[in-house]
Amino acid sequence: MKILVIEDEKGLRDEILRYFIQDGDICESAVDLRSALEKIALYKYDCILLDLSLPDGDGMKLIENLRKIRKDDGLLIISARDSLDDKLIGLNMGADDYLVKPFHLSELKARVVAIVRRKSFQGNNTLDFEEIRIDFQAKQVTVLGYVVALTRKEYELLLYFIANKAKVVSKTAIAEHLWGDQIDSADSFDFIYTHVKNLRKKLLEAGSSDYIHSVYGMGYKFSVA
Amino acid sequence: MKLASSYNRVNLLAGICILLITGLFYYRAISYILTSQLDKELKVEEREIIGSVKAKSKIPASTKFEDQQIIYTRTPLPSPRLFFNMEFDNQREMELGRELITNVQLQGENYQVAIILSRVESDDLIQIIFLITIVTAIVSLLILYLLNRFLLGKLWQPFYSTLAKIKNFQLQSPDFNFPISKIEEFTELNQVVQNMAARINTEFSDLKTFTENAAHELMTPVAVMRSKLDSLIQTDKLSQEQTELVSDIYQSVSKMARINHSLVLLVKIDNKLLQDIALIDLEQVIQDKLKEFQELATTRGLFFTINLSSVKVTMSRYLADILLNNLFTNAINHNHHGADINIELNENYLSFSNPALNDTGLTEKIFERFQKSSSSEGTGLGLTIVRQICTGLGYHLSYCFINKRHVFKINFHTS
Repeated sequence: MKILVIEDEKGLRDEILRYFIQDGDICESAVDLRSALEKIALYKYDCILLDLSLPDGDGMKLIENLRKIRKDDGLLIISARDSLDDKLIGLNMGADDYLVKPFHLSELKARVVAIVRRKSFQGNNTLDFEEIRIDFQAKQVTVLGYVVALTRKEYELLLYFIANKAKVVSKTAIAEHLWGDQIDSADSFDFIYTHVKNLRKKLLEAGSSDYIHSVYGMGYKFSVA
Repeated sequence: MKLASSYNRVNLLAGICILLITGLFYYRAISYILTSQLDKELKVEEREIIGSVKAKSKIPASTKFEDQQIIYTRTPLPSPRLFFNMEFDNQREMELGRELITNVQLQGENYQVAIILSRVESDDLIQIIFLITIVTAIVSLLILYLLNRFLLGKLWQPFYSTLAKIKNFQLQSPDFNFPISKIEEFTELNQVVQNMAARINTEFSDLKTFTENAAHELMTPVAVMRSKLDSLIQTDKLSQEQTELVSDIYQSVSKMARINHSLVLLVKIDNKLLQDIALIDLEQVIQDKLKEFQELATTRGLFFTINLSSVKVTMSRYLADILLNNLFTNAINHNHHGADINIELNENYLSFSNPALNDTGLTEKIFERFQKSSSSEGTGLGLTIVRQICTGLGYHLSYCFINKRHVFKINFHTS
């Protein structure tokens, strides 16, 4: 994927870039509106991560410009502004998603992957990870052709893992992904354990290798090795 | 009391008082004038009698006409000369009259003369004059009243239109202009109100900006911390001890983010900054929430018992969502394994109740900020947020401990 990160906060920008580059994505960054506008005029990106509050202007301006030039670049707003107004305005102007700071890098990655998948969908809406195949249209998972019956949460969990493959995903991040603000994450670690256990069991029973590795004290890692 | 009726009341009272007092004086004055007129006639009569007695040297016979009687009586001593009102017999009925008692001497004898004139005609006159005056006065009062009513309505029209505008005042609505009034006071009032509205709007948007800036400024460092931690846990070289430390920091950062988020939300609720107001079908929202929380509840062996009727409320959709989330979370987190959660909704109230682990002796203090049980992993702001949402809507939220159950109840009608 080719990603443009527009974020003025250096600490955050560096970590986002590091997280994506490690996965082999091509990343560029812009620290202000001016350089961001230059970049979108010159290049096409699979997804643009946009912070709304930039030192030299409102990020909304960029959305406007971008949608005038191209329609199909993915656009994800990352903002500390969590008022409903901002969300609605952003989405109405043509953003694909809105993520409120502070977010987990794994959540960011999952959202970007989802946007890019939606944008690049060309008839063949499936995703393969080794012997696991996910059909997004039917929301169905098959292992070597055998259908694995997953609950909605297990399905979401699997997608989240695959989007963050070979990364350690914290339990907190998983909890917030699956339940949002509904519960305090610490209370939900039991549920996560149950869900992960069930998902792993179902995949193994269908004949898949064991990709879910528990990382002591932190969370899980979905990887081949 | 309305301005017009208050004004009219004072006007009418004053009018009637003045009317009564002047009427009284008027009546006394006319009756005084007419009485002295009668007295003059009586004196003329007296002079004629005395003259005639002197001229003829004899006392004439007493005469008794319908409207005039003269009676002569012989008395040893002269009685004092006296005018007074009395009643006399005009041979048909008793009639009001004015009498003069005087004396006349003839050949050393003293005769008392009583001259009586009828007062009826002058009395009729007084009555007619008085009646005409009263009627005129009442009619003019009535006209005054109607005129006032009409004039007041028209004169105060700008005031009422200003009042209506203020009533419909909405934050951040740019259109808050008044028509120009010819009356100076109203123009001034409109000016003041307009300035005030402008100031309110400015302060409101300042506050809004501040709230959002505060959230932004705090969230950014938290976001950096979190992303750094996310990167840190990717490194394989962490020892078990380090992992535990990182994990604790991770938890704390998450909690910090949640507390900050909740505090900002509280500020927003307190200042009514959330304006996505809509008519919300509470029953439907609760049904949706039941589905969302079903899984969580099942994992803990909890089950819901519900008794819902269709209730629609006008409130922010976002807040309705948070309100129910917090109530559900609270009921799920502070519950026995395998117990029930009872939800009741009717047009009077919404209540959540669940069995208590033990009587914690909690009171309404439970709604205060950062008030929480030692075992709770929450921020201690969830119920505060619920209370603030209710307060903002004019609902009454209460907590009580009945039959070993925690009961949270929201009364939609405060009275």
